[in-house]
Amino acid sequence: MREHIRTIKTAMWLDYQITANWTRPITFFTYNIAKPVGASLLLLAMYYVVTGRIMGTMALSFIYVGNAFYMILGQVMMDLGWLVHEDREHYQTLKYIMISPSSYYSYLMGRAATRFLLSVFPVIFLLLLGLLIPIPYRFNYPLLIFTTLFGWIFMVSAGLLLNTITLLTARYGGSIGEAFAGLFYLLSGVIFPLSVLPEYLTKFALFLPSTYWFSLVRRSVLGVETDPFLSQLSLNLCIGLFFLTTLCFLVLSLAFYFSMDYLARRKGVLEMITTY
Amino acid sequence: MHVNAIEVRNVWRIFKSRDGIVEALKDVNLEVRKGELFGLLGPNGAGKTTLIRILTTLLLPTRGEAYVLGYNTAKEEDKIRPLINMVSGGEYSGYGLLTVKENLWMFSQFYGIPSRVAKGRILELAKELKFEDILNKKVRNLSTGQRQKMNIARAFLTDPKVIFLDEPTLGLDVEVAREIRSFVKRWITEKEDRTVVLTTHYMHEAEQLCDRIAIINEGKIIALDTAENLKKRVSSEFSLLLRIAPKIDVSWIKNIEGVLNFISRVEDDGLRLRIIMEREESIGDIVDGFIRRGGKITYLSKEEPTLEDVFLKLTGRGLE
Ligand SMILES: Nc1ncnc2c1ncn2[C@@H]1O[C@H](COP(=O)(O)OP(=O)(O)OP(=O)(O)O)[C@@H](O)[C@H]1O
Ligand SMILES: [Mg+2]
Repeated sequence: MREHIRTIKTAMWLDYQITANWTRPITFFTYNIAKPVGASLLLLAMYYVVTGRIMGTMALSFIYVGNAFYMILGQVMMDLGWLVHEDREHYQTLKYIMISPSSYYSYLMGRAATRFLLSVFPVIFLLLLGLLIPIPYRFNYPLLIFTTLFGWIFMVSAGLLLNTITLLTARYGGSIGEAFAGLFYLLSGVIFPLSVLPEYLTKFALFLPSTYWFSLVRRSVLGVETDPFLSQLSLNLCIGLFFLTTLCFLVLSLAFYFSMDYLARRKGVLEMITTY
Repeated sequence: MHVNAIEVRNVWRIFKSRDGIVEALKDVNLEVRKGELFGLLGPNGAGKTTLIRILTTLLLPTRGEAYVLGYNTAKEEDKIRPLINMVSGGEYSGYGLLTVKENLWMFSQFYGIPSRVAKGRILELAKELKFEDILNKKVRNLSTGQRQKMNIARAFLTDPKVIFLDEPTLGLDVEVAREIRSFVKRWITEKEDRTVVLTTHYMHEAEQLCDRIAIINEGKIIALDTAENLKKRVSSEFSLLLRIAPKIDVSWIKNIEGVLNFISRVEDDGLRLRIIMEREESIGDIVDGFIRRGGKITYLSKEEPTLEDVFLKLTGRGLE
C-alpha cells in the first residue's frame, strides 16, 4: 500500500511538472481559464439564439452547471487518451516505468489525479462567473464535496479503462479519449435531459456513473434536479447508484488492465514506436 | 542453492504482423552466471533486443522459458523487476521538461529508494560518469551523449543485481562511449553478485568488455565462449583486406582453395573486401585473379583473426 501511494505521489508530481510547468503560471492559468470560459460563452450564445432569452431560467442553469462540470470530465478523458501514447512514443519512458517494481496502474492513477485537480480550477471560475448571469445557486456543500471526491474515483477508473485500451493500440490514442469524452457528453445528461434520448440510449445511460454524477452535481449546486427522468430518483438512491456504478467501473477497469497488460506483453507493444 | 543470473531454455519468439511472420528467436538456449559480464554480439535484426525484452519482462516468449535469478520472466515479473534495470542505446528517453536531476530522482522513486539516498547516489553517479555540469539542465536541451549518460545513471541508480545494456554506446562519440565502457567495467568488479548482459554489434566492445560472448545471427545462437576461445576457432586462419577498383565480379574468390568465406562492400568507385582464408600460398592466386579480370589492387593487408572473422566464418556475412 505504501508503495502504491508513493508511486501515485510521484506520478502526480510528474504530471504537475509536465502539465503546469510548461510555461509561466500566468500562461497556464490563461489557458486553463480562457478555454473553458470561451466554451461556456459559446454555449450561452447558442442558448440565446435558440430561446431568445438569457435570464436565469432553470433550463439555462441546467446547461450552465452541466457544462461547467463537464470541463473536468472532458479534460481528464482527452488528456488521458494521450498519456500512454506519449509515454511510449514521445518520452520513450513507458518501458522503463513498466519494468520498475511500481505498478503502472498506480502510476496512471497519479497522473489522472493531477489532471483532475488541475481541471477543478476552471470549474470554480465558471461557477463564480455564473453569479453574474445569474444562476440560482443553492449549494449543498457536503454533497458537493462527496460528489467531487467520488467523481475523481469514477474518472480515474474511466481514464484507466481508456489507457489500457490505448496500451494495445498504436495510433488513435487521442481519438479514443475524445470518443470517451463525447460518449459521456451525449449520454449523461450534460446539457440536455436524458429523456430526449431514444429509449435504448436512456437505458444505456443508466449504467454510466457519469449520469448519476451530473445528477448529483445539479443537486448539490442548484439544490434541485430538473432532469424529468432523474428527478424521480431520491437523493439516496442516486448516491447509491452512483456508488454502485462507480465500483463496477473500477472493477471493470482493473480487470481490463490486467488482461491488457498480459496482451501487451504477448503482442510486444510496450515499446512500439509508430513514426508519426 | 546455486542459481544462475540468467537461464534461457528453448526460447522462440515469433512476431506476426501485416508484413508476414518473423521468427526473431529460434530455440535460444543460454546461461549467464552471476558476476559475469556477458555479451550478445550480432548484426542488425539478429534478435538481440528481442531477447533483452523477454528477459526484462516486457515481452513474453512464444515458446520456451526464461529465468532471471531463478524467476520465470513470464510469470514472476513482480519478483524480477526490483532486481533488474535496463538501458537501450540510440533512443531519446526522458521527460524533456524535467531537469536531469529530477528525471533521475523520479525513477528512483518508482523503485522506492528513500529520497535522500537517491539524491546522494545521483551525485555520485554524476561524478563517476562526468555529467555533474548538466544535473540542473532540462533534459530536452541535452546532447545525445549527455542524454545517454543520464540514462545509464537512471539504470545504475537502483543498484540492480542484473543490468541489461542494449547497445548502450550506439551512436555515441568515441570519448563518451569509452567513458561508459570503463564505467560498466568498474561497476561489475566492485561487487561480486552483479551481472551485466550487454548487446552490441561492435566487436571491439564485446571483446574488450565481456567475459563470455554469445554470437547471435538470425535468431540463433551460433557460438558461445570467451573471446579468446572464439578466436581460437579461427587461429589457423587469417584475414585479407583488399581494396580494388573498379567494381568487378568477385564471385570467383570462393572457388580458390583455402578461402573460407568473404564479404565485399561497395566503396566509392571500387570494392572493399574482407576474405577469411587459411592458406598463405593462396594470396597469390587472389591477386592474380584480380589482375586477370582487370582490377587494380589499391590496398592489401593481412591481419590476425578477430571476432568479426569468427562471425564471418560461421555465417558468411559481416557484423556491421
Ligand atoms: N514488434 C515486432 N513486430 C514484428 N517484428 C518485429 C518486432 N520486433 C522485432 N521484430 C523483428 O524481429 C527481428 C529481430 O529484431 P531485434 O530488434 O531483436 O534485432 P536486434 O538484434 O536487436 O537488431 P538491431 O541491431 O537492429 O537492434 C527483426 O527482424 C525485427 O524486424
Ligand atoms: Mg536491437
